[in-house]
Amino acid sequence: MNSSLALIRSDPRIAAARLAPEIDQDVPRSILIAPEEGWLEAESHSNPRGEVRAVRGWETLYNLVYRRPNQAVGPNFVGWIDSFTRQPIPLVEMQHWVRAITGRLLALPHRRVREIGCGTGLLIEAMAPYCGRYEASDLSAVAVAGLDAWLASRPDLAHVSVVTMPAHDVGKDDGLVDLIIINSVIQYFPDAAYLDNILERAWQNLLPGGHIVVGDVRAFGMQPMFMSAVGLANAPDEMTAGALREVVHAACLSQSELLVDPGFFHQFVQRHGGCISALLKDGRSRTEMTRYRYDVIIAKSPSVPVLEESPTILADIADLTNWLVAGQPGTAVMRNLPNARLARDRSAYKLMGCAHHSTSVGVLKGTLAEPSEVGIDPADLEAIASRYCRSCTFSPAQDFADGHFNASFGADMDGFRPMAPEPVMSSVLTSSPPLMLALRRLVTSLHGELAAHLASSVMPSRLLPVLDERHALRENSMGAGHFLPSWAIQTLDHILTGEEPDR
Amino acid sequence: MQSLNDIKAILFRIIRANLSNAALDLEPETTPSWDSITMVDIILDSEDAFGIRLSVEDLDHLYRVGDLVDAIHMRLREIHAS
Repeated sequence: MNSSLALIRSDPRIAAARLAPEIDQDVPRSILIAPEEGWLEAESHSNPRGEVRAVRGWETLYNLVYRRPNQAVGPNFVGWIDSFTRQPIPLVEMQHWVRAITGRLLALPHRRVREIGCGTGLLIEAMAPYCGRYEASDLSAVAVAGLDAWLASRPDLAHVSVVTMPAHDVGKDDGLVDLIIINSVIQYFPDAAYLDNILERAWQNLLPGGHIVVGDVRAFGMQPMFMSAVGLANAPDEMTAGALREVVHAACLSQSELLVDPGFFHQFVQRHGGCISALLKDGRSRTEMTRYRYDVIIAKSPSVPVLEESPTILADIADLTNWLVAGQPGTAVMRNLPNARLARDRSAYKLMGCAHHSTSVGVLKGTLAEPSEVGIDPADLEAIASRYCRSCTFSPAQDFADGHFNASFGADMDGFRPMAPEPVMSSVLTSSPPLMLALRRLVTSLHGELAAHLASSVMPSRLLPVLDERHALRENSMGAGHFLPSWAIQTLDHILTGEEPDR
Repeated sequence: MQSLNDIKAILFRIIRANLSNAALDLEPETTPSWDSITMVDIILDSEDAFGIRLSVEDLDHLYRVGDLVDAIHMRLREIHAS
């Protein structure tokens, strides 16, 4: 193992390396590596070539996904795989997902609509019958060909046009629209700068009073909790907590998608003077979409709405019930509520961080059978409010990374209330797919070098990069967290100082 | 024009750059570390290395590394013939 360490330490891309804590005496220890700062800095920045390649990559991937033989022509749920079960997400859940986002979209002006990344046409089928004009585009020629064939059988949708086009070419020469939909798409954008450019173009293409809806955004700060919950769900009972921690660490680094926190959109709206609502996904089901994704509605309003008075602050459900029964005018809010949909995942993440390395996954799962946290389900609050004909909306809270939310209650059933953007403190609000790609390639390349020089019996189990605070940590008013799990962050000082981690 | 063996040699280097347990007879379904992202990285690296773009029809038939060798060979033959 010393020869592995020596080889890795001699690589100019590596600042420091050390053995990971022992998991099992029969299993070779992994090696934790701290990439060299200059290399890391250079690889963190995207470049035009990398951007083109990333777009080509997602185009290729979705041409592969949609090519499946015997695939039905027209809207369908191909490619929607549950990360926890690795099986297609149940049809009833997906149908609910479409209904929920369609409800949000139809509540906004929608005479002229433009959709970026229409996929197999799920939203076209749901929205287009209610629109005067619907322009859709997708990166995948296979998806567009399937949609064209389906539209040929739907003369009632003659006002729908579909083209094969990357997001950065959409809206260059087209007219203004009421509604621009970017649903479940931005995770495939190359980086944050690309997303910013797409939003900028969309803003220019909006009529006054129009909206941009960015749906199904994967929350950046919730990444460690999400990956930990998925890792635990897929781990065999006999695996140890130490091994599982390494699996989750590696899984976090293998992410290729762009993850974005709500603060990113608040910053965009601050620059443009519109209004914004970041909203939890609707629904009573507990899929990964209702737990880890959110929608953003950006309004090109002529002016920021002024609240008549400060909302009433409610502490708990008893407070809420009293407020509803009293039938008071105005609005009320409940702040920083623990989301019941995430109670088990929150407990799992905490437990995985502190469990002894030899504890089995079976024991962890047994401990979680009776979660220590319960939380409040947004759907329960909605049901209570609707009994009194009050509207409610749910938005990411200060501790969003831990799955906390704010609930706002209005005087009527008008659900969407655009607000002024909130101040954002952090400069790191998104993941960096270029950096993730560079780290994957670094690990593969180092592994190849070790394999060329060493016998397989002395090869480390894994090579696990650990990043410093500027790349891994983030904190802001919309939630604090980082994209690596807590145990991976804690190891960095030990790599650099050579001290043994204390767990 | 590159022979089938030349193509295989270049492709093997590309796969090794993306997968630590590289072998030309690998199949995505039976290789744990081979996910859809790895598949796409290998396709893009191959396109760059040979200066080609695979068509939607080419992608339709890609299931094993051998299929990729055939698709590249066919594209190069077309370029050579024109």
